[in-house]
Amino acid sequence: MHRLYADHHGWLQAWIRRRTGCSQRAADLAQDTFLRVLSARAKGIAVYLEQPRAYLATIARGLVVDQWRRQQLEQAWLDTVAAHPGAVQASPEHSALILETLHEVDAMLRGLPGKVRRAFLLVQLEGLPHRVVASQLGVSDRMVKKYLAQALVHCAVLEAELDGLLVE
Amino acid sequence: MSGKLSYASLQQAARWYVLLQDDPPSAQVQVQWLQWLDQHAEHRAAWQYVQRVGKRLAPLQDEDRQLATRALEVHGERQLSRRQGLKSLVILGAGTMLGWGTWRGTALPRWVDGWRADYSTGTAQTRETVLADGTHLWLAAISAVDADYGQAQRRLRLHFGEILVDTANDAANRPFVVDTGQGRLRAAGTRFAVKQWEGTTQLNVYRGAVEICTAGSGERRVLEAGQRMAFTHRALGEVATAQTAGESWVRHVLMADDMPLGQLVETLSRYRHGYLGCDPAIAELPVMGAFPLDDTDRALRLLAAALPVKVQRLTSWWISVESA
Repeated sequence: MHRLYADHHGWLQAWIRRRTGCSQRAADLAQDTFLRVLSARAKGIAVYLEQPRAYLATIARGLVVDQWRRQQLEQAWLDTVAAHPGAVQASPEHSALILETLHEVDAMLRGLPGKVRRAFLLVQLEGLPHRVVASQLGVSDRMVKKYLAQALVHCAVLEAELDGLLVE
Repeated sequence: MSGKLSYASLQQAARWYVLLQDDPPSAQVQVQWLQWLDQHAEHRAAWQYVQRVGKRLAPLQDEDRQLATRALEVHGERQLSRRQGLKSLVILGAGTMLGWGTWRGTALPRWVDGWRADYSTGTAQTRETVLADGTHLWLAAISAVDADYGQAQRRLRLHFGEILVDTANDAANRPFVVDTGQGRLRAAGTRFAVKQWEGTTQLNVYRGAVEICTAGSGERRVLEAGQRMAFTHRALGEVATAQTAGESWVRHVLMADDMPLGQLVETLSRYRHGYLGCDPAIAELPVMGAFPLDDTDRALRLLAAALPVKVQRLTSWWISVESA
């Protein structure tokens, strides 16, 4: 591991910097990448190292994409707030909490079809009745229930998997 | 949370949650729900997990919720249009998009979910499709493929996972190629399977012949029907007998013919939600037999009966195969 770090840390940081254009972020993400490798090893997951750079780049890319999504989401939130000037001004702490929750929800719903995702948001988050959501999505009431159950199972599986990982 | 929790219980819990949430539920529905909860500890566990999803949203106060929904919708739409934008750029001319080219240069990891690919599958899914020229393409679980048919050639790009291809004769006589992170496969009138994982591509040829050309070293080799080979981007491997497993998953069966246990468990894990792993100490044990991919619980029972191994269940989402 020490060797891996010594041989590739500089390269990885430069690689991330080229993609993000920010050296501070590159330093952080390079660090996170090595942490991932360490924790994978600690869990007994075989780490493939015939091409260490390809492996590190793969992990780093995931972190970059994740961070990029975070920024996009933050922008979407700021744009939405700006478009609704009447909305209550949240304190910085509360805004951070909102963003963190949004990020969790976004990650949780990733991979679900568009209508399933929308149905979940409109009902669970906004609290609209099923029939209102049905007419918004142009589907039947029963379909909305099906979408909701699908989204809930998807999320519950993630929750359960999270526990599975924590049992270790 | 201990012991058993099946996917079916989570599905039931989700259905109850949805029923109880809409309008005031009838007394009858409430009684039935309580009876369901009372039936099994597993039902109560599943209910807790579904409830926990709702609790994830709890930090949002009522007055935030409408804006939060809008923001997530805006975000979702932007992501979608970005994806579509990227895709059309690729169609216009991948050659000019250097960044994109490098991005696609290495095998994409599973968590990207193949969302940019033309054809993709998730956990426990398989897919069959017929391409424009009549070629049949099957995707095994957790796989992603782009199809790019141009005037000069018919090209598939396997990002990750496993495919089976039965090529059709092309009226325009265009060659048929499959690109992976490790090299290019050129086929004619053939049926063959390609699997890509961790820097390796494995090719099984069942009919006709396929030429391998490695991406890094440019080494070439033609494989005939009945042969298989694994190769990296630098080096070809040994020629071996084709594995029936490369074809049998299309029928939801994993045919193990002297297959290392580790490979078998890895394949099963693609057909099951949650973690399924194998103790490295026994990963090389050779296995013979037919294992159902659409019922991985049964496959694991068969495995435990046939080999000196035990199936350790921490929860139904965390299973490891260990030495007995």
